[in-house]
Amino acid sequence: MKIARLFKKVEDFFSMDEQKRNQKSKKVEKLTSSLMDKIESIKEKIQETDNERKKEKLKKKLEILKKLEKKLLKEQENQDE
Amino acid sequence: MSIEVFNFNILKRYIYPLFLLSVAYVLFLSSDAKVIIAGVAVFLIGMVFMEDGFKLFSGGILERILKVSTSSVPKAIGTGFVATAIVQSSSLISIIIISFLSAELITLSGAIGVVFGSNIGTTTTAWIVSAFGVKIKIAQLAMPMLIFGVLFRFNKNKSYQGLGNVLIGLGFVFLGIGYMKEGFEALKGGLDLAQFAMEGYLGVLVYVLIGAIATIVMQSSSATMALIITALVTNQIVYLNALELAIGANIGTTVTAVIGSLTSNANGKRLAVAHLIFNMVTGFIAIVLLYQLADLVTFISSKIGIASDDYAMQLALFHTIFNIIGVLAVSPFTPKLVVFLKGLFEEKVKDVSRARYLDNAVVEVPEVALLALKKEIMHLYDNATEALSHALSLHRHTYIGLGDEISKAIESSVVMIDLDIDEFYERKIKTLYGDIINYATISQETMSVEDEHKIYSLKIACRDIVETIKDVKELQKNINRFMDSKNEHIKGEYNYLREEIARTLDGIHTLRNNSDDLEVLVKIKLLEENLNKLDMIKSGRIDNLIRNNSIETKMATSLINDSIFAYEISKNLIHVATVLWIEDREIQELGEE
Repeated sequence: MKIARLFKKVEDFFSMDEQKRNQKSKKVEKLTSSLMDKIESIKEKIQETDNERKKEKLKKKLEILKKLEKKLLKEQENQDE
Repeated sequence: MSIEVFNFNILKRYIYPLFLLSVAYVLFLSSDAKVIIAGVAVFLIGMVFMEDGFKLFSGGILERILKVSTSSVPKAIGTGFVATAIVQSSSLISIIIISFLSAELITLSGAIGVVFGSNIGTTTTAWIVSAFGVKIKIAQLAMPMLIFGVLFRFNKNKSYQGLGNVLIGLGFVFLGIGYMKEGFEALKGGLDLAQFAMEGYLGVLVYVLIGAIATIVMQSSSATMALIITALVTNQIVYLNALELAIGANIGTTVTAVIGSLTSNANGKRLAVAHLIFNMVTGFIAIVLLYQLADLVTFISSKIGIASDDYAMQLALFHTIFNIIGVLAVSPFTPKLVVFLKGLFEEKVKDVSRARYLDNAVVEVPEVALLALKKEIMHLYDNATEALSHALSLHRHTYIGLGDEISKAIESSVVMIDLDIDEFYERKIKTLYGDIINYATISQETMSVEDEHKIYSLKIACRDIVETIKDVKELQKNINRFMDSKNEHIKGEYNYLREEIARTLDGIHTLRNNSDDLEVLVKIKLLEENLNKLDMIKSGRIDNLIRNNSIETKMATSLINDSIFAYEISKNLIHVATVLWIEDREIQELGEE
């Protein structure tokens, strides 16, 4: 039993897959939160501006950010499954 | 140039064979000398393994640290010290620093700071040799290192292979020290080199010269230091002469750097001369104050617990102290040194058709090679934007940075620019493209799977850039043809294609200096959304023109075909921007369809 555990540890050490997966999921989490921050900040800017042209541009940006967020969340779900 | 060739020819023809013959003669004469020289050879092989290992093992950390930690001279000195102390190779640090300097990632004063720090860092070799190398049964430590090093080399992971090389290197270094010590001990039975000890300033000059020559021959001050320490602990040389040899080793190492820089670019030459000036000044101070420094070493040794008869450790302390004094004496003059060096070696006017950043010295350092490639592809991109703009009969300064006002710039650009795209391609694209692909292919041989993917993306980006040139060649014919057309509709449609490509180029220009990858991705996505408008059939634009009899059928088919070229050009440019200006791999992948 102990030998099996030892082998598992050695295998984990050499493969580094687990470590890489953890790193990746941390990165994705960070990315999701910065996407959310950007979405919030653009929403605020849309409310603050009176310039229609600028508002239109910001809305386009917002739309893209939402699409990216949706894609990221979907990818995350797929990975969890 | 002729002087360089002359020198190298003399070296090849006479000095090198003579040197080999004298080594062979010494080996024939004395079996003890054979052991010492074999020790030096094994030590040098160890250094080569260690350097190769760190190139693979560091996974880019070393390069990242060197890139961001050189903003001020004191910071750069600290960085140079730590980096060299860890990798035990000032030449590896120099190679990386020269490449960063050429890529304009660090300033010359930062690079000089690293060189200063590297000189202190290299003194750690003397500490390692004097503390471990000559005091314990070194071969017993070397063997497990060699065994585990070889085992790690069998691993598929490049980082483990790198670690394996570092261990093999350390093993050989320790084994080499063991041989040197053994050789000197055996030699003592037959010949006592200590009888050649010399006192006074004549002795100083003779031994400094011997130290310098030994370092020039072995191309490694670390090897000379190892040799001096092993000779010192076996009482083959006296303490004061050992100090003088150490000063000589410091001076000798600059000769190696200067010879190495002869074929280098202006940056390489500047750094080599900075190194030379630093070591000459340091050497001069150490020679003049030799006896005072020796007393200082004795005093500090007594305070920090180094035994009064432990001359090896005292030599290591001397080596460190005189390099620190050198840094203190020379570093305040860094700004003046920068001005002097820039004046001494002026950069040649850059030829846009040739590679600027692809330095063969760093082709085996993955992170630096990737960086050099990226910079060079940006250079290729800039050449391509010149061709694209001129093919559209536009000058970059007339529309870049205009944003929403671009349409006005297009309307007012009515003078045709007669660009021969084939000639331009031959002159400013083809050679550069070939150089990049060649460098990328060579560099990927030593890369991890992850880095190989990056190289693959960069190669695709290059291909996309070249495709845009080929597509714009097709588009150019009808742009020129309809530029003066009396049919305002077809003229307007071709102006529209010019405008959309110009918008893409302008959009990419605005995102180039943005370090927020998410912002860059959003801008790229906005450019992508515009792409579909270029498809004349999908957008229904062509239907309206035909229905209203605004253009002839032949014009319509030309326009449909040309709109596809415009679409492909913009699409390829956007893809190139994604690869070149989004650093984060995750964000890059998020942008992919």
